[in-house]
Amino acid sequence: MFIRVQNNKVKTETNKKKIKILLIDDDETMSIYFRDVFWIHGKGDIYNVATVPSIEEAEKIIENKNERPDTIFLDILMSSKGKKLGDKAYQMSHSLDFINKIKKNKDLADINIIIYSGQREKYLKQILEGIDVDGYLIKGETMPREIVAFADKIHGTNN
Amino acid sequence: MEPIIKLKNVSLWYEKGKPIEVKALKNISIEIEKGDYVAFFGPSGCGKTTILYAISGIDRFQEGNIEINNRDISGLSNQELAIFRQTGIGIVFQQFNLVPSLNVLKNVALPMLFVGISSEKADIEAAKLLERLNLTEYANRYPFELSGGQQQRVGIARALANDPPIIIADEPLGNLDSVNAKRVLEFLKELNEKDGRTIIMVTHEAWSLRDVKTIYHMKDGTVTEVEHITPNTLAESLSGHLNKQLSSISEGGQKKAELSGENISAHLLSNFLLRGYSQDEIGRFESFVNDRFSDKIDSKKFHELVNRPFKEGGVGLWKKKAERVTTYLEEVINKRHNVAEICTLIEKNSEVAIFDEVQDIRKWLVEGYTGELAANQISVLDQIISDRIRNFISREKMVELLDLSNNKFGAGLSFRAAQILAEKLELILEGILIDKKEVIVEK
Repeated sequence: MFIRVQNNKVKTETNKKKIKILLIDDDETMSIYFRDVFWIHGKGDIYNVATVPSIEEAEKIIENKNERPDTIFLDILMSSKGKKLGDKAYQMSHSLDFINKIKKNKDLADINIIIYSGQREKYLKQILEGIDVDGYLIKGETMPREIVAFADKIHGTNN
Repeated sequence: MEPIIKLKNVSLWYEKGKPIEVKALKNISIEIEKGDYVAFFGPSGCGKTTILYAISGIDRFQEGNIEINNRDISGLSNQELAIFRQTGIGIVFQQFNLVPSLNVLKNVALPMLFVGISSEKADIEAAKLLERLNLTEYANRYPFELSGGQQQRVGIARALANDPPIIIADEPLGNLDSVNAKRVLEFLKELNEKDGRTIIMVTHEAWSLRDVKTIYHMKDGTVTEVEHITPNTLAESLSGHLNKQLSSISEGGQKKAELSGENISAHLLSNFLLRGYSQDEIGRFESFVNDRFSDKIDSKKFHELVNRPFKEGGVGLWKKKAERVTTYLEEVINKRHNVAEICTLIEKNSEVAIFDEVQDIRKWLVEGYTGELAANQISVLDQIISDRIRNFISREKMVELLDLSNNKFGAGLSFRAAQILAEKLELILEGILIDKKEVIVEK
């Protein structure tokens, strides 16, 4: 687990709008789990969690100013449809392109990008070297409540 | 405080539309607050376990809705419900329900694997939970190698696996001895007070209500009374619970004032002897007990009635069971007569010696007690029984003394044995004891 030091980009107190989280993950069960963990732990009135199974669908949401998320959780290595399973290099570069595209766009650069992946930490650190992300979370190492706690930390909503 | 669970007009039928359909929950509306410790309390067949299953998303209800954190769970898909059950609630079962082929550590780690936690991480987290429940040394044992109490603690550790905000306990003390039952209650209290989890327990035993903050009394698929417990009312509530339950059970509570000690005793006795039977059977049984108490029927007739098939107006008990309950009832009647006589004696002269009578009652009380009683335990026991008959001590005080260790001047019985003994004694004292004030004035 890693979080970059934040200067509380999201102003939670000034407006009562829910914090928008977008998960990009093609595993349906894990997506439901990720989304519902916030509800189960009573954070449904703070966070609005949407899930999409691909980067392409995420881009559609991000284009829409009203739907634009505050934070994206991205599974960096999805077995995306139409592409050969196990084509790691392709998927990885697709994900990294997506991150760069957001971080280099002035309008979007404020969106937190968190890598949410099942890869081993050592491997993740390696590939994320020099990539502009705001944190990462290892799927198999994160207990349900820790997902919520992580989001609280990023958004300064611990209390 | 924000409600974590809201039930609005919930009705649930089993086998709906079939000839055997049963309406198990009838239009129930309640709100459970976050951080509360609640119990659904009532006799078997009242719907209390069904309500747990409805809240847990195990049983689907047909009418009304249940909201968890303001979200209606009736619209959830099976997959969503499964995730809710795995992470939102931890269930502690009466029968422990451990996987026999997995060791203790793996049993506790299992729910974590379901939400994608790696096996290594799950083992680490499971070990932490075992430590919390003082089970570290049993990590590599298999369920069959553990006592009931240890298994139930493993069950609690497993319920905590995914760190759920809600803990559901279905008759969690049912299969435990007194020491372990107490420990489980301590843990539940800790999970509520220290962790801030919402605890929901289902029980038919009053003494499991010790730390509960809200009691939902249930009868025939409805909540008949909601009782909010404060520390001040706790003792009162525990002692009064049976009568309170009775008032809610006897048609809307109007009959309460008319009920005699015999009626109450008949009610207690019926629920005691027919534990696990349906309300219809218990109700009919109770009316025969009342008839027997008032001598409208003799013991032969009573036996015949309880043995007679339900369809033909009887209770439908099997021959052996019918014989056993008839004998037991005759003993109770006999002992009630004895106690009444003793009370008359005491009324005349509060200093009268009642050693023999007490001994006689004690012998009856400890029938079926499997433990050994030392001589000093017996003498303390007699003293306690005598004090209770003279109404010097309350029922609660008696249980406390029965349970207190022998070197602290208690009888040194196990918590559960103390409860059972007290329950049995109350059957023959209900409605007979002299008002305490009179006795004290005479002294």
